[in-house]
Amino acid sequence: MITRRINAFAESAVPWLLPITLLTAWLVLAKLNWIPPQVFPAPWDVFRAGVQLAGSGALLEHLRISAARAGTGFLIGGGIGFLLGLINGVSFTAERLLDTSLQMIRNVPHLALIPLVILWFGIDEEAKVFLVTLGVFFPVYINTFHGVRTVDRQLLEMSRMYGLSGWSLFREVIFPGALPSILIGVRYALGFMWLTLIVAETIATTSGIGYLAMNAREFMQTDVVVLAILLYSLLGKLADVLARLLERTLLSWHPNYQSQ
Amino acid sequence: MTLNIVDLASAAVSDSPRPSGAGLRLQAKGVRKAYGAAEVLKNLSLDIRPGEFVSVIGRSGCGKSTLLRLIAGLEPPDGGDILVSGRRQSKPNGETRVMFQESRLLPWRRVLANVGVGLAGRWHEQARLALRQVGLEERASDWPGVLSGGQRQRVALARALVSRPRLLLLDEPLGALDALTRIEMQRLIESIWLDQRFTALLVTHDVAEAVTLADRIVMLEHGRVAADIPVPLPRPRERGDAAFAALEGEVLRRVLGRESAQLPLTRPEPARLKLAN
Repeated sequence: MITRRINAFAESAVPWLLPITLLTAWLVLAKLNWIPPQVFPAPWDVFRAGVQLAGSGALLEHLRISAARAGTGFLIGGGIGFLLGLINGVSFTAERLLDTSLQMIRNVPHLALIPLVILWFGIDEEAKVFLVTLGVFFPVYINTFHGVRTVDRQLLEMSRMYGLSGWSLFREVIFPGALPSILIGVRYALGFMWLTLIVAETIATTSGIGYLAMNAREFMQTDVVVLAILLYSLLGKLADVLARLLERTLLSWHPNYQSQ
Repeated sequence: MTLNIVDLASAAVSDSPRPSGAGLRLQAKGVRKAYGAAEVLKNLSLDIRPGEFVSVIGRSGCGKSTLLRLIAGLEPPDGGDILVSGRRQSKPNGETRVMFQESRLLPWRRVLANVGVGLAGRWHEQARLALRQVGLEERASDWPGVLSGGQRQRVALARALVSRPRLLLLDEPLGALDALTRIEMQRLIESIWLDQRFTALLVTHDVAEAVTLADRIVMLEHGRVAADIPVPLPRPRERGDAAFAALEGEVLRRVLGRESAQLPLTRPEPARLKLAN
């Protein structure tokens, strides 16, 4: 009984082993003064910077703005990607018409469009949301398309035999069949979302975590820079946890997700 | 266990209000079908009485599964007509149901919802009844993924039966099951058919299965009906029975005989015996 509890604790502690080790090493090295603070700040400096920024309310405000940009871009890009993936997956005509063009656009790194985006949208919110939208669109599009195309033919035939068509066919067979693939797309998209946002927020902004980091760099505040980086990694982890949760609830029928 | 399920099934169906003689007449007239250059069915004709249980046997590639797909309306014939109670079959309809070799259950729907797939309105009670018929009522809220192969086929059978079909097409539905489960399923199918009297067409390569279930065995060879063999044995049929064994032997001989006539004479004997499964 007790050993089992200890085992369970050990099991859940394993993923944190590496981060905690690194943190400890950082602490020790900083304490021994082996890393100069202007190159890399001490952990307590980062912590103090965090407390200070949080206390003034600035940190939360920057976080809120970054999250809003990421979320808006994700919803727009993911939504369009999902719809187009669905349409091209279901209709061969639509695929012929659109897929070649989409594949061509896909191979242009979307961050290469930054100069053009600034020309189009200026340096306002739209530019950042647009970039995130673009970054999120393709992973969702490609995986939705692939998911719809690889729905089991035998199940489709059975469904036709049992009178499913149109909306009921979509709801009962096509969408659930494509869902595992769509969720993989969502996971990739969440990664691209943060990546794009970080870059977009380093160009001419006055708010957001990216701005916080860039601004701090100009004043040599390495502690704030590191704080921003840590925040990004935490947000990334949060997005990942969210994606996992989504997978586990939506794919509970799937043998691969039934453990735990 | 085996007896249990059959008892359950007959208990469940005995209070159902199914009138006898509910099956549909099935006719195929000069049906042809080709895939590219390969002619799968050549001028095939068949007449099945309402409520009759017919087995179509033949080696793989003889066109038996294609015939079933045409009857189901999943594909159109290239020539000739397929008539179900006198009407031409062009697309799938509610009176015809198919049971495939694979269970083809939706893995993301619970067992009960799988049985009720395509049904509208208050189908829960009907679906539950159909599940009881196949002895799986207590698995109603399970995912199909946790069932055994035999159980999945029983769910597929319940799904086929829930809408009270008048023509049931069985495309080697027991082909992937182990020998014991197969016999169990054969008894279940027979008992339900005896009660509901739909017209049944069973495609199989298992001669013993055909003799166990069918009123008549139609042998296909190279896209044509090569033999039409009545099975006048009383039901339920026992495999150990002398008359059963004699008939099974005869059907086997016919299948093998025709094949061996076309095989080179130097072919070793054991290779041929495998054909009969």
